Order: sequence, then C-alpha cells, then structure tokens
Amino acid sequence: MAKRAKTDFEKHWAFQAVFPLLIFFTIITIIIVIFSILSKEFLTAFNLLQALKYLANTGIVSLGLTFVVAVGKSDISFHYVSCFAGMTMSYFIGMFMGGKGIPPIPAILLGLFGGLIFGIINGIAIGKFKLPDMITTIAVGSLAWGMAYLYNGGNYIYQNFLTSGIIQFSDGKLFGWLPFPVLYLFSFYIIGYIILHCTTFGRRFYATGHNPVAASFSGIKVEHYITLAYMICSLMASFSNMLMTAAQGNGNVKGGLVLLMPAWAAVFVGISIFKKPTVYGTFLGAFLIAIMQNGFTLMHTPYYVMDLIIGITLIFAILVSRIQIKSGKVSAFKLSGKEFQLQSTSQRGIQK
Amino acid sequence: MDTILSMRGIIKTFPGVVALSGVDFDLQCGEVHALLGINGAGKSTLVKILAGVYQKDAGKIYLNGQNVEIHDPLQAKNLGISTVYQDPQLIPSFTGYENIFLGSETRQRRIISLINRREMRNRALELLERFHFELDLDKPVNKLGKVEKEIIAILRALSQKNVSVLILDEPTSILTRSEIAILFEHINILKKNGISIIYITHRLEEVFEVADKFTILRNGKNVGTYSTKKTEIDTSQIAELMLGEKLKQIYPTREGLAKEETLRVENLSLNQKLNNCTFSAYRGEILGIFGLVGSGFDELCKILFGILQPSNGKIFIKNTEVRLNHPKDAIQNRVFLIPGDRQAEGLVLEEAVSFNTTLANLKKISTPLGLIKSGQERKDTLQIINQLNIASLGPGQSVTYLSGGNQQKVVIGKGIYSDADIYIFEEPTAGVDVGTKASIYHLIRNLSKEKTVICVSSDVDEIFSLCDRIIVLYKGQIVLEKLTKDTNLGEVLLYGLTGGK
Repeated sequence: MAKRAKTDFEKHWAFQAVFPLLIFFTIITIIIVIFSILSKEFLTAFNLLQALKYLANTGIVSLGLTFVVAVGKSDISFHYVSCFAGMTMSYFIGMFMGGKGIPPIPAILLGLFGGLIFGIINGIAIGKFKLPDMITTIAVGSLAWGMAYLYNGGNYIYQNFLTSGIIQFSDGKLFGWLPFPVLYLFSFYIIGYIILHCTTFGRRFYATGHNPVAASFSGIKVEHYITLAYMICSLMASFSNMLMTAAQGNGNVKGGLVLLMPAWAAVFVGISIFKKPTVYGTFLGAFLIAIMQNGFTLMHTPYYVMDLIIGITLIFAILVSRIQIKSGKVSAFKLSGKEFQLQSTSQRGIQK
Repeated sequence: MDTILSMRGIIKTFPGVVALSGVDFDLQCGEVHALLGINGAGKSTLVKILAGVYQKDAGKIYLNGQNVEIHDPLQAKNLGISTVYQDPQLIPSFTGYENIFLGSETRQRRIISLINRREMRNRALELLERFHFELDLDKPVNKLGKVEKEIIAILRALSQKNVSVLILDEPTSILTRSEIAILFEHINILKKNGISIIYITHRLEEVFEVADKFTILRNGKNVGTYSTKKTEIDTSQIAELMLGEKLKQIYPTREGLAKEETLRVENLSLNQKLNNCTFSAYRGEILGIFGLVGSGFDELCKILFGILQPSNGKIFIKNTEVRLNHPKDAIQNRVFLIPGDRQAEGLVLEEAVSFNTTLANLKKISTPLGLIKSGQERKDTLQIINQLNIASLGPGQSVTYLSGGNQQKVVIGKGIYSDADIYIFEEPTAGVDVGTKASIYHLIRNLSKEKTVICVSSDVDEIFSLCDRIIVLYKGQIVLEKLTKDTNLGEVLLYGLTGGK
C-alpha cells in the first residue's frame, strides 16, 4: 500500500515539475517564431540587446515583488513609490541648490532612500500593526504619488541630465558591448537568488509566507521579514524607475506607472510554473513579458495593446497557478485531513 | 413519562476501529439526559448518528415508538432532532434574529425573493415568548456575551418546526461559572416546555446540577445509566466507570528521577485564564499537567513559550528570571514547545521535511553568513528521520503528504533539532494512531533522561501512565500536585473534572 503510494507520488511530482516548464518554453518558442515572421528586425543582435533592456526594467522590479509575494503579501504601491524615488533623484540632479544639482551617485542614493522610506512604512503597517496589505499599500502608494508631484508640480525635470552623467548609467556599456542595465539585472538576480534560495533568510521568508503562525512558533520574528520584503520591493522598484529616468533623460512623474502590471504578470507566470514565488520563476516570467514588450514595440502597435496583452497574461498566469495550488490542497486534504482524524480519534477510544 | 427516543444496539465502525459496539440508549420525554465519557468513548459518534451526520452500521432508532432511519442532517431536522454543536458559528455582525434564521430566512415570493425582516423578527420574538427567554435580539451578536451567543445558537436549533429532541454538545466548555448558571436556567425552561435534551459533557459536577439522568459510555459501550436524584453512585465510582480498564503496554515504564530544577514558575496569572500558578520542573523526569479543554493549559504552554505574556508572575530558567516576549526568546533560553495543533502551529505544510525540521535552528545548517549547507541539512534530517522513524520518502518530501502521526514526529524532530533543554509537549498524541502513540511516548521518555520534559494534555490516561509527577489544572488554578506513585488515576481525573470538591 505504502509502496504503491510512493511511486504515484514520484510520478506526480516529476509530472508537476516538468510539465509546466515544457508548456512555458513551448509558448516562448511560439511567440518568438511569430515575432520573427512578422518583423525582420526581431532576431537581430541589436534588437536582442534592446530586448534585454526591457527585461532589465521589468526584471528588476518583479524581483523585488517576488519577496513580497514570498511572505504571502501583496504590494500595489511600488509603482507609485518608484515615481517618488525617480522624482527625488531628478530633483537632486536638476533642481537642488538653485539648479546646480549634485552628482549622479549621491542623487541615486537619495532617490533609493526616498523609495525605501515608503517600503518601511508599508512593512511596519502590515507586519507590525497587521493592517490589511491591499488597502495599506494603495494608501501608501497614493501618498508617495502625491509627494512625487511636490518636487516640480508634476512637470518634467530635465535640467543637468545631459551634463551630469546620469544617462551613462543607462546607456553605458561594460567592455564596450554589455549594457549596464543588463549588468544590474544579472547581478541583482544572482544576489536575489542567493538570498531567497540559498540562505537562512530565504527560508524565513518562505516560512512566513506559508504559515506565519508556525514560523513564529519556530522563533521567527515574522513582522521583521514582512518589513524586509516590502523594503526590498520598494528599493528594486525605485532602482528600476531610475534606470528608466536615466534612459529617457528626464524625470517624469508618470514614468513609473508602467511598472505595476508587468511586474505582477512576471511573478505570477513564475508561480504558475514552479507553484511558488521563486527568483528563477520570476526571471522566466519577466523574460516572457519583455519579449512581448519588445516584439509589439517593433510592430509599432499602440501602447494600449501592450497593456491589454499583459493583462491577459496576468489573468491567465493567476488561473494556472490557482489550478495547481487547488489540486495540491485537495490531495493534502484527502491524505491528512478529515478521514484520517476520524480514524485516529476513534482509535483513541479503543485503547482506553 | 414516555420514552421519546430509544436507540437499540447501535453499531458504528470506522476503517479499522469500532466506535460504537451495540449501544442502547433511552431518552424520556422532557428530561435532561447527560452523556458522559472520556475523549473517544463514543459520545460524539452516538449523537452524530442521531443528527444524521454519520450513518449507523447496525441497530435501530425508535422515535415516539416508530422505527426511523436517519440518512442525513436534513432528515434529522424534519424528525424534530436538533443539535447545537460545540463552539457554534454565528456571524458576528448580524443581529440575534438574523443569526437565528440564518439559511432559513423568511422570504417574500415575488419577482426576486427578498428577505422579510419584520416577519423574521416577529417569529424570533414568538420563539422568545414561548420559552420566556429574555434577550435583545436586535443587537449584533458580537455585542453579546458568550452565554447569550450560546442561547442564540440554542434558539437557532429550536427555530426548526416541532423540535422534540435537542442535543447540546459540551455547551459549557468556554463559559464561566456564573454564565453556566444562566445557561442552566434556560435549559430548565426548555425542559418545562417538554423538550428532551441530550447533554454531552465531561464535567461531572454539571451532571448533578442540570441533568435528570446520565449515561456513561466507554469504548463505544453503554456501561450504565443512572438517575441523579437517587444516590446510587458517587463521583469517584463514576470516574472509574468512565475509565474502566486500559491498555498499559503502550506506555514506557515510569523511571524518572528528578535531578536539578531547571524551570520555576511563580504566581503566573493571565487575566481570568490562569490564576497564581506556581510550580517547578526538574531535569530527568516527566512532569505531567492535566486539565480539561478550557482549564488554562493552552495558555500556560503559550506563556512558557513566549507567545502570550502573563499579566502577573515570574518565570525562572535555571534560577535566572527570564522575560519571554516572543518564541525566539524562549528558544534562545532553550525552551521548545511542541504545539497542540501541529498543522496550524507546528508545520509549514507545503515545504519539505528538511525545511521543517531545521526551521527552529537554521544556524546549525548554515555558515556564519547565512548560506545554507544543503549537504549538512540533508544529513541531519536523515538522521532525525531515522532516529524518530518517520515514514517519508526522504528529507525532500513535502510534509503535506505525511500521515498525522508522522507529521507530529516531524514537529518533534524540529524540537529535538533545536537543541532545547526544556521541552513542553502539548497534547502530544492528539489525532495520532496507537502505534505512533507508543513510539512518541518512548521518545518522550528517552528525551526526559537528559532533559526536562513537561507533558500537557487533556488525556488523563496519558498523563497518569506516562508522567512521573502530576499537576492538575482546573479553571486556571493548580488544584493538585503529587508524585504519580502517591496518587491514583481516579483522584487525578476527579480533580481535573471537579477541582476536588
């Protein structure tokens, strides 16, 4: 009996692990084939680097979101927070000290710090004071968005952008060929992978997300990890926005708004493949989104088509991940749920 | 008095075990009949058969002299059998009458069926009038006290048509002394209105207060029905009847030798849940704390593990006073709690065995920087799997797929891996099969040779047969502390049930 169950489980596991990955790569291949038929430029080296830049933006912001989803929470403020961070940086470059500005690196650090503050507010409100995550992040996001307007009344900040060297952070290339954004992307992903999957910190993030009570009973200060996750999320979003600001050459209040949906879509594509939020899953998700973003841009489709496609991708990814989570719960219930308890409580009676 | 309900030779088996083996039970018209028995004696199974939740395997049920078959809960309701389960689920923000008619609201049959509040309210008031209850039904339920909620749950059960048999499943488990008195008044009114009540409890003193008769179940058999009016039997005899003989061999021999004191608790109090508890635990012996659900043992465990903070009192570990504000502090002081609800409090179900066993002591499998040494993790988890004999596919298997007993062993494994000195086991064998039970008892005994072990349980048999020293908790107070060899099972149970009065 036990033996048969074992092999069933093994088959089940192998199937569950490999099958979604196969489907994912099939979909990616189909998309690439379609785009390369529709557009001759799609499979050129130049375009590949271009696609990687898209990937850098979506990838970095969704990496941060992965941590929040890993602790079992949601964040719908990070795009607003990123706007505040981007405007903070732009202000210090273009308008600080009567328009003289400060060098890019301290400006970037100040921007990141600005974003981080909202991450801390989110984290403390949700982790420590146990406020509902959705409403809280909407409110905090709205606050950040409002404050982003304060710098220049919602107008663009472009002063000193060409002279300060900030553009170099986006357009620069390592060894003359590797764009900096790609470099950031891979370094963040390697660090993120190590933290979430190879360290005890990662363990605690997952334990917090899966069962905060059991995590707390194991000596984990759950609220610290929730706060940390929100901090990482707002930091990554802020960084992503600053890359965009540098690439565009001006600070735009609305620049970061495009980050929300692609990030959620990337994380959920990851969950639908690996059944839980993972760094590598999010990477694959961001890859899928970036290819679509790049492909549709090449085909000169209007921007709202892009929104439409990402929306559909997100819904589909949520659907797929739900189906798997559901089926997992059902089998768990059958094996360790009511039937078992019935049997064992009556056995308690027997031996007395 | 006529017999309204009579059950003859009821047999019910679950896979592998017999829950009821030929129970006869008679209920007279307008009496309160208590069903007594320890956990697993078959009380719940019997009433669940009456309520249509389970189907009997054999036997006959006669209602008003007619043979009836009860296939599902709806049928039981139609026959006039209504049940109030333990901890009734009411919707907090709904008013009393809305809760009473939840799911059976009066509707106006028009184009859309609107709920007719006025008529619902009138029907509820009629119900109140019929039984002369006094209660504000317009208040939302969350503004009411516990006993009022219980009464609303009873009214909900009575709102069915022609209720003649009412089953109350441990209605007093969360009520205070004065609240219980209020509830009993209401039960007496119901009795006068000709409603027959089956009252399930394991508190002896209540039986004599509210019931006319009582039936004791043990091992799925009726071992006697007595009247509370005549003094046929005294409480200690009842305790004996409830327990009967028991299997001894699943318990290891009691051989504990108290060495130095490791934990001392002084005047520990928590609002109304715990009252001035003072005791010590020693290395080398198993200290048993026996109490019924609601006696405060859960709160005690949680205070010792830093989950709840006491309103008063001190905790000393190895003669140093400690403040435990979080389980982290407790673990740092080398205290570990194996919680009573393993799925909710003990395990991260979705994750692997190794994830769970190492969770409370991640330092042991990581470098100073926090990088996990997966080889070490696997090796250590394999060792725990072998040591505790956990039936799993290996360290990588998700604990969702393990049986209850093996899940419990994983939680114990987590405790062992945390290298604690003081272990608190709360209900260590709840929902665990006999075989695993025996191995858990041996494990606890082995652990106690080098460490301090406190075993907290509502299973008197477990406490008496396993532990070297016994503390009995009754309504938040320590009412008995004795070495096991100086006491007997009856005494422990009696103190747990009645507080020794």
